[in-house]
Amino acid sequence: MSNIEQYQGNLQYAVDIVLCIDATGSMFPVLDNVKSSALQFHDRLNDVMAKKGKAISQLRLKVIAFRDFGDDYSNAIQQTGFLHLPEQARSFEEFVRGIDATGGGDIPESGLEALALAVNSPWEQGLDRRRHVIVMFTDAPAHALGKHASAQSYPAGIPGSLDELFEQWGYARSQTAVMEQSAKRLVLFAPDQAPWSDPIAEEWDLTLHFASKAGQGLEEFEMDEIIETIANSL
Amino acid sequence: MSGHQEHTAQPPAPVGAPTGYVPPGQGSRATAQPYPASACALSPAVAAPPDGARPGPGGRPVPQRIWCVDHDRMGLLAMSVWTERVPGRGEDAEPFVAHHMDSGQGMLAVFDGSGGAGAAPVWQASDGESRTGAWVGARVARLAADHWFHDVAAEGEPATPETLCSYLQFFLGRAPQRRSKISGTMRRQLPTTLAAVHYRLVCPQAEPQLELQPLWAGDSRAYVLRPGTGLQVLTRDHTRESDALELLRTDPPMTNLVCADRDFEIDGQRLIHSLPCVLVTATDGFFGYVHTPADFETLLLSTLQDAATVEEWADLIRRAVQACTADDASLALVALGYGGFKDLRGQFAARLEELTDRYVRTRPRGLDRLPSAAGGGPGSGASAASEDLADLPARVRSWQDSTWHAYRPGYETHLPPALEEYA
Repeated sequence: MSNIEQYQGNLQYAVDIVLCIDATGSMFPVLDNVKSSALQFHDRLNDVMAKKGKAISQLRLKVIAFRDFGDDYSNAIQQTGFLHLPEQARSFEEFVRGIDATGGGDIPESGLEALALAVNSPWEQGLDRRRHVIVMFTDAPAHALGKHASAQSYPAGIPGSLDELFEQWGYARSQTAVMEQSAKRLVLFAPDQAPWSDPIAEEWDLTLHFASKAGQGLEEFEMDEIIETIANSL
Repeated sequence: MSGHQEHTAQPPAPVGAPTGYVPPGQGSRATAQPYPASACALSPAVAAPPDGARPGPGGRPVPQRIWCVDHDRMGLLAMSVWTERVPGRGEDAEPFVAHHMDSGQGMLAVFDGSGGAGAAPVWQASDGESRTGAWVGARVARLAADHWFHDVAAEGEPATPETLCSYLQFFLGRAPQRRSKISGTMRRQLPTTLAAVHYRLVCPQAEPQLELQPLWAGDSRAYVLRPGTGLQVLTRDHTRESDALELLRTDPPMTNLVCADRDFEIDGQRLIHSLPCVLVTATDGFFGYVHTPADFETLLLSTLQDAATVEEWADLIRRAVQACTADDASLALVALGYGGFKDLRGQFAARLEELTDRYVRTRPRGLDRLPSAAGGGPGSGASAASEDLADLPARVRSWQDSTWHAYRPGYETHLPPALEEYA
């Protein structure tokens, strides 16, 4: 992208979104929803933003699909880099279409590992009015961080506890934050269970929590509702 | 008194509104009712702008309202401007302007309902129109401020941030709320900013003076504007960042704002100013989408110089902000001690020249050819691309930094100290 295209004055937002998607069996409906909407994601978000009088100067999307390191470490995390939309919409679609909703083992999943990877993403640092948004889709609670740290393929650099992850998320006058305070947002489509509702949605700053029904795969959420919620977080 | 406003529609009272509820927009008239004899006896000149009666998309009135009064014998001039970015979806309440003659005090205020934190619908009008918590919050806060000022002016209520806070809590606590499916620390019930200035004319010695009390929560602002010193901010945004240029670049979240479900604080400070002076309150639709903080003052003064009357000034301000903003925008302005509009305009002519020399003529080439918010979609800047624009971002940044460095000391003369942060 050229400098000319990058400079949009003080009127537009540079939006990075990391979609953390629980890809275990029960999540088939929401995955199907995301798959079918992948190519329109950019236009639909732009439309919703326009209705709010806002515009996007740059939109990048990254996907982290997660299952359970305790069940099958080989497919516990699959992820893309940041993809520019709409230019790389096909790559986004291909990746999402390649995710099968399968496995998972016990009820909790490795959602916190996915969240930690998202927090440490290579966020846009240059453009004005940056928004760094993490969107978590899951219908399950999460294993404690570090529980499966010995698993082969367990990502390096994952915090050893939820408290350490909170330090990376940051708070007022935080010295250890990885996320940029004015840019960060966390949108949770997750059950009203630990750790999602408490402590994350209740205690971390700049969170929105749309409570889902545990084990029911987020069937109640339409893509329009999801995009509206993301737009409201910006 | 408070003034007369030209309205296109009057929504009915929200369900659950307190007894005596006055529909949004009628509040200023209601203020006049308890004390009409003692209130300012102005006959306000109602400015119905040329566009005001023209229907917009879908038959809606064009979303703008301006109001003004110019009473040079009394040295009082007032106006307000209100616009919506998206017709019918605006969340700013109409600005509040009131002056109480007997007690020689007045108030101006703006209210910006916070769409992100209060996006959920909480009230449905009788015509089926659904309104968000942000929309309701801004209007209920306006109603509370209206009642607070009445009681301060006519009933002896102490004019303090704490009493205003308690009025806001009282009214918001009785306003319609709906439990949302969405929770989290970003959510608020009926969230809105508030920026007000309560003023009182006093004569401690021979010369009359103005006691000012800016009162605010959130990121709307109050200012004093004078020919010799320009625009000086009286409020500090409730955000973690306080540098006005950095705020333009980052648009950070607020750390304190008026709402119905959490503690909030009304910040305040007290100042004394000599007359004449101009007081301004504005929502971020006015100052949040400019290239550099000096642009807002330039907008006010260039439109002032181009206008023949206060009505024209208000309309030119409205047109100018609609051309550059990406948000709802509302502004209230009171000028005290000038001998009418022409005197006001004449006194600021030299200041506009200075601003133009320092901050307009120095603009990087190509800056004004950038896409506007209205037409700006991704990649829309490409049409403006040419070789001489290749280094535009760097030149703009350098110009912003240098002009802000020059403008900042005067602008921040009355910037209050930081409030302890709210999470």
